[in-house]
Amino acid sequence: MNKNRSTLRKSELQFFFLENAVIIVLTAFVVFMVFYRPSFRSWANLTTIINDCCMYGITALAMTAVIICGEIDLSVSSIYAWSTCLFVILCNSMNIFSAAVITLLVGAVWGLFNGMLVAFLRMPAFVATLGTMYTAKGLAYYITEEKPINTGNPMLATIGKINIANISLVPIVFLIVLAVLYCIMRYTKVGRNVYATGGNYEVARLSGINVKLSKIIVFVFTGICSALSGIMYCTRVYSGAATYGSDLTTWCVAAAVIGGTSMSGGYGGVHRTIIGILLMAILFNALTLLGVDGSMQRFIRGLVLVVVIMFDAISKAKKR
Amino acid sequence: MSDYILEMKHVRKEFPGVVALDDVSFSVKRGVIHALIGENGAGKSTLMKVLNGVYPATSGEIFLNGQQLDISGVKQAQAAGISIIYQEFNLINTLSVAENIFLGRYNGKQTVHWKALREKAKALIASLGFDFDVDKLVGRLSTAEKQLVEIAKALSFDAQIIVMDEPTSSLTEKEVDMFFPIIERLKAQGITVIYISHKLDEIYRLCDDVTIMRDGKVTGNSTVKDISRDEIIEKMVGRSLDMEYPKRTVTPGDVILEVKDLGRRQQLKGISFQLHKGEILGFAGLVGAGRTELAEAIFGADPADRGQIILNGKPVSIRSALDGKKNSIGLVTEDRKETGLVLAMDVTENTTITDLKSVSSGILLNRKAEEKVAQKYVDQLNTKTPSLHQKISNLSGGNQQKVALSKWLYSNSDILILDEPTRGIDVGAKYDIYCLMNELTEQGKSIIMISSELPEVLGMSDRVLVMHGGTIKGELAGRDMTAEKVMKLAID
Repeated sequence: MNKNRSTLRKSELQFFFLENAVIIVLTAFVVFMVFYRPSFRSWANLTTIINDCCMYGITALAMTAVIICGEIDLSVSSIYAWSTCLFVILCNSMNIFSAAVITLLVGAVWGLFNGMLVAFLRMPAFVATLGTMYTAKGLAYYITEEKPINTGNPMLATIGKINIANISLVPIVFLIVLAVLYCIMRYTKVGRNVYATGGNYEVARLSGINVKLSKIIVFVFTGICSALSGIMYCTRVYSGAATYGSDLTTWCVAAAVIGGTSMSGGYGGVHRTIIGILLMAILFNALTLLGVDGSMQRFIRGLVLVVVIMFDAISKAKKR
Repeated sequence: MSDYILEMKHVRKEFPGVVALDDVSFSVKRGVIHALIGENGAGKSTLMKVLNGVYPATSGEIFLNGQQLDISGVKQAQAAGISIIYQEFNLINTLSVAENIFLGRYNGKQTVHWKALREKAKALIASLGFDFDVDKLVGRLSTAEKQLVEIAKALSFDAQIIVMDEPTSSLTEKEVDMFFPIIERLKAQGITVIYISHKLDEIYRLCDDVTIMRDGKVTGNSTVKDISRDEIIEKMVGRSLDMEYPKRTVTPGDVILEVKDLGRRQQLKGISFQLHKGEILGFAGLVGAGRTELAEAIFGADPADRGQIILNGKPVSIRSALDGKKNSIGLVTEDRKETGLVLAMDVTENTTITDLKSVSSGILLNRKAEEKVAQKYVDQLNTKTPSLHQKISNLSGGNQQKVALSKWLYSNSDILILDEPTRGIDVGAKYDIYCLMNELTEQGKSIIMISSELPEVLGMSDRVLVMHGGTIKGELAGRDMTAEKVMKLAID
């Protein structure tokens, strides 16, 4: 009996390691950095990490909801780039709050467009959002005449300089988005329906759930959040360009999956993505501190994505 | 050589937190048809998966022809001559019969020898006493033909032992009659068949020996002719069941649902019937007769394009499942895993899925209220679950079915459409569901029951409508409700 119990423990332990392999490896890496590079644990560096990752993190949260709904949104990087351009152009002719509201609304429209393609035309999200990815990027190039544009809006500069102990406005906005999305996903009918739709589309439909609406809602969330991430970036650089944020999509998918949200839909949670966001941010900050150059970092980013999704697939196979 | 072709000794299998097989010993004589019977969750499938190398056993030994066998994977089991045919077929619909039979073994090193492949496939099918085009895509075959392809595939591995997991669960009575001689034929060829089934009739018709399992243990071993039905049932459920079908106690009242000349594409033509309050209306027919299609049309999952649905005297328009739900219609689908339950969710979430508004305070969900609802139905339906937050995929088939029913009871459906409500579930759970159907009709609800098990339709229904080719062929009531009359209408 004793022996049986220990074998039971062993298999549970194995399962735990497999489930959390990526998190464990990355955490080990962080511990290594803390001791190896003292500059890593300086307050200035830690706050930089937080300020940085919360910007992309906003979109990663929404991406998590899309993935839970059983879909994917490849267009976030382009909606983000488009939003930086639109916001900066608007800032040059109106106050920043109106500019922000318009940019967010346009972001919502992009998401609505994605959602309609997927829900009503039954296009695979992969294809629909790939199309939007090029469309949005193309429009961004068009309105900026393929050049980065700047703004000297004084309000934006004031907002951008908000800073409490080196923490900017971005983490605060991130926390608000996190709280809202978490509550929606966990405590509202809409959220539950998103889980059901992602868990099994047919079951959800046959249970009288408005599955099309569920899909549209998550894509609209993502459109808005991508735009919000873009606006947050503008508060730091005061400029917009069609080339911004090209790594956003992979970054968000990786963060969500590292956090434990499964690509197969129905499993996971937006709060879990926080771990993914932090680990992604720390990893790349550390790589920079170690002197790894930008192109190599891109390579590693791709690699992380592949490895993470590989583990997701393996643990899914094990669960069967 | 010993009499036994297969001996599994003291097999134990643990999953994290669960002992699925507890010291199971299972021996099968050479060249017999050996039934393995037990309620869902009794461990039959797990035992067969251990035999087939899908799961490694925690402890225990397996002997084949008296020699110890170390099975650590499906390939080794196949090489040793053990094949298993699952309830859900392992066939690829977009490939031909021949390709499916020899999937992954196209005899050339890199190329496919089409001619040899076809001829071998044809010979295998012929050895079963059938003849059909081996170039046909498997997706175009009937369930019975797919079954044949699976058997041919097993034979192509030179199988000595073929395990069949509820092979008749999706066959109609007529197809079953065609299917049994095939199994007899296998036996005549010296192949040993392990036959997993819930249906006692089949076991008495077909099998030589029987092993009964309950809760991961073997509770009985016998030759079939030396054991009575009651004994088998008792060993399966640990108690004796008085009757297979509880007595109907309700006299149907006024018409609640009237369907007039309903049709959809080529699938349904000129369907008209009435459903009364408190009635159980049975729909019999062969698989593919259009019964599921009709259910989907009434519920709105795949709406009708012609005709009228009249509820309580008022014509209604049902264009989607949402409309069906709004009109107090519920559909318990025939395939609970694919279309009935969200496997990633727990018992509570699957129960309240049809009506989250009633368990919300404002826009927020009230988890306590949800649990209360779930508990109510767990109690009412006698659902066996370790907790309200158990993942639905960890429950046995019968208990899953009870949750699938719960969600429509919770949404307060006046009309329940039950499509094969007892498919693949154990005797105990079946009886629970029959009693529940009676109870619901007492409360004034009306039930449309689609079932391919004739005794069930005849035993439970007040009236039976027989479908064939997308139309209603006839109505039977009272003394006319006999198996012969149903079959006569269903076949033509």
